[in-house]
Amino acid sequence: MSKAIVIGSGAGGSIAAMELSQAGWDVVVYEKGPNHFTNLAGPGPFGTVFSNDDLKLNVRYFAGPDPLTCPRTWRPNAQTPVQHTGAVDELPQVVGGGTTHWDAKVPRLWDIDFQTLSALGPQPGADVADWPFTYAEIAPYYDEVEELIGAQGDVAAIPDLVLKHAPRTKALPMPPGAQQYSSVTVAAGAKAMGMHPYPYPMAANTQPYNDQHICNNCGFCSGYGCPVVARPAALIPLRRALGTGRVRLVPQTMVTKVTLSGTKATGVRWIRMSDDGPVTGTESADLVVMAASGIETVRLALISEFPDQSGKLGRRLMLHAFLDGTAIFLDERMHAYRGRSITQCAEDACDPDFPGARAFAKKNGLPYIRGGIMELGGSQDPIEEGQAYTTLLAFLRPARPFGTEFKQLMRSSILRDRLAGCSLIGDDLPYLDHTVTLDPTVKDVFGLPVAQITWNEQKYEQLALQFYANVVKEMMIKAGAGAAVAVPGTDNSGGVPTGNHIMGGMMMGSDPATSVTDSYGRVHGLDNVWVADGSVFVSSGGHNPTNTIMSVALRNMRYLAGQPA
Amino acid sequence: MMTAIAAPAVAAAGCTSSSGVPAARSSRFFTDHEAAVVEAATARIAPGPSDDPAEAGHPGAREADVTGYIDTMLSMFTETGTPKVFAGGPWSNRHTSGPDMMAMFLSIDPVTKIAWNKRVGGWQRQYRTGIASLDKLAGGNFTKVSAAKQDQVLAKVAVSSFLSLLFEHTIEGLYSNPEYGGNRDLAGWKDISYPGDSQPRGYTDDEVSRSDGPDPVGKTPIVAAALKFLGAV
Repeated sequence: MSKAIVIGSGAGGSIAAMELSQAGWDVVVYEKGPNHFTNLAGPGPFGTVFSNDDLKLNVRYFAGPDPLTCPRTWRPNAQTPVQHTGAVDELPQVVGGGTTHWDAKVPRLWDIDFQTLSALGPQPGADVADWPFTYAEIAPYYDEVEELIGAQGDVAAIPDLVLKHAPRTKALPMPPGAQQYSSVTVAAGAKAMGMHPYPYPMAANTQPYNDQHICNNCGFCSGYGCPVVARPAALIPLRRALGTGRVRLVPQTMVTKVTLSGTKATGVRWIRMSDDGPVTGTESADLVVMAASGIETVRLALISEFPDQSGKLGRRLMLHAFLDGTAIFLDERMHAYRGRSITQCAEDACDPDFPGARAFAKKNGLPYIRGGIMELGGSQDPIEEGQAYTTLLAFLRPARPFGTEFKQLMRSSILRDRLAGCSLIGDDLPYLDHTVTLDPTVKDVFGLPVAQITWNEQKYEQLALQFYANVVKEMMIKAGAGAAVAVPGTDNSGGVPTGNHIMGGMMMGSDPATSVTDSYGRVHGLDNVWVADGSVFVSSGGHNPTNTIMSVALRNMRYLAGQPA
Repeated sequence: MMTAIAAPAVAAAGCTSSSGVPAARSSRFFTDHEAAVVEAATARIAPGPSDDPAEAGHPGAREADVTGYIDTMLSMFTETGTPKVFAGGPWSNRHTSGPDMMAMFLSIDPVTKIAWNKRVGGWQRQYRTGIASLDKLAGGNFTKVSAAKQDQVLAKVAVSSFLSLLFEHTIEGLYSNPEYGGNRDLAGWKDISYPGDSQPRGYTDDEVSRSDGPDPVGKTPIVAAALKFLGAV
């Protein structure tokens, strides 16, 4: 049988490895980062060294990559020099990829996200387009992914507006878990605003599933690896792939080039670090699937000098326009550190017909604006809380920005235990000048050029964030907050994108003149190179993207696996 | 809902045992004087009962051994055994019997080693020069001047980047898991009513969903000012 190389072991790569190996392919999976799991091949629960450890995960890059060895650069636009070198919207670099640090939210994109151009029309300055398939075509793959990795939720509680745009024919495999007090409190404010909050669909076990443990509400989800692996995600398809006996998983090894001969890939070159320096090698293959996540897949395609018939390779990078809502409750504690991080969401702001949104857009010269899903009731942990107070103290107490007042703030816990926020994941339009390119000067630890990110919020995103900042603030006050503020996420990071949602750069499409990959993710102009991660997205939608990455990869890789080798 | 979860039969690959908490240190970075300066400075940043009367009953950097946390970090490549970059997992012994698996630090891959050698080397230089600057600005010995004078020195523009580093590491030493050498006797967590790591116990559904009851925030002047800044209604 023939041999395939899969680059990356996360959401998309795990699905590719499963589909190809089950169809009889021999598969080698290269993963740049280390493996923090045991018992990958099973049976029985996965073991791990992920833990409830704020320092390890949020400060010391345990899930990597470390910006000192694998940095990126960022500039807001092509006319401005690089403004930041270091961490730029990094996804984990470990076996399991982004599905290790995620909080396992699995909402679906809407029908109008897949048919944005035909349903909603163009937007000035943006490259709005339709996906090469509809919601109806991808819906069964969403069902299958939910069943594969195990998702919880209550279809009966999903509001009509959501079911209208993302219809479901099946129940989710598991019922919702315990609802966080913080989430329910903010959701009450959403209801008071006429919105329709409901239990956030999540791929975390509330019942024994896939031989894995039940989530025990430890509270360390977003940004952390799960210590009991109750949200195994990519590990499930990886286990199925390994179970065929045809798959070799190679961690701590980075593919540095896809080697091409004419229109065919012949294999890859790789590099790994040893204590004595870098070690390099090659691997030949009949097929290469790229799933290193949006930015890294584009970087590798550029280093490998892929053909670029449409001129869109590395363009249309979408990172979501986040709105950070802070709601502080003065009379009681919200204890958002208990339970699955954020158990309620509202999708009303995904609707271009949200009350007042059309009129606001028209007044400002745009045909429409859209926000995104609201995550209701999240907070942060003490180290991040402390860092937030240092910023506040520098502003409020410049003469002595430390001391007992720092400790009084920590004990008041207005930015942790009394915080129940709202994060809105705003629709980010595709722009041709939002790009991943190779940085001309900065290199990684192996001497390869790093990804240079050119991205900022444009008029559409700015207006949507402005409109929804008022909505979110009013919602939080109606929920009982004694202080409430909502600002774009980039206001808190000096402009640098930090949302960890990476989409676009290798957009799918049926026409090689206007897209980078074909209707199933094969690179136009190359016979045997496919893409199975977020880079194939045509639009961003306003939702957590991981289950869409997995569902699209499942559709495309199943098609590929059915092709003659 | 509680679920019985057996501790893994073996620690994951890459674990090596260390001497536990608190560890007997095989090497130190700071000289005695440097350690004394860091202890004095971090005690101004996060004072305890002996540093500020307002903090009676509230342990600070000194009590949590923030200096021990920082020195452990700066010595990670000179102490014997596994460099203390990443504490082990999946849990400690705070909510279950058995060994503290967080005390078994994880071996690090070669790329991580390169990054942390670079990072720690940079911090070592910043501490050496930063401590010398504090002494100089205090007229020779930072530890021998009054608390008020120490505050004035720390607020000087000349040491602002060192203050930022000290503050960052003070926060880490107070509120990180105690296996890293700070947060002694969980002093940091207790002072802010934070339970810390919760595995393998987790929380019951009731603990997740219920209100803990009324608990009005104490509006000290700084809390009131922060609330005003953050959009007080």
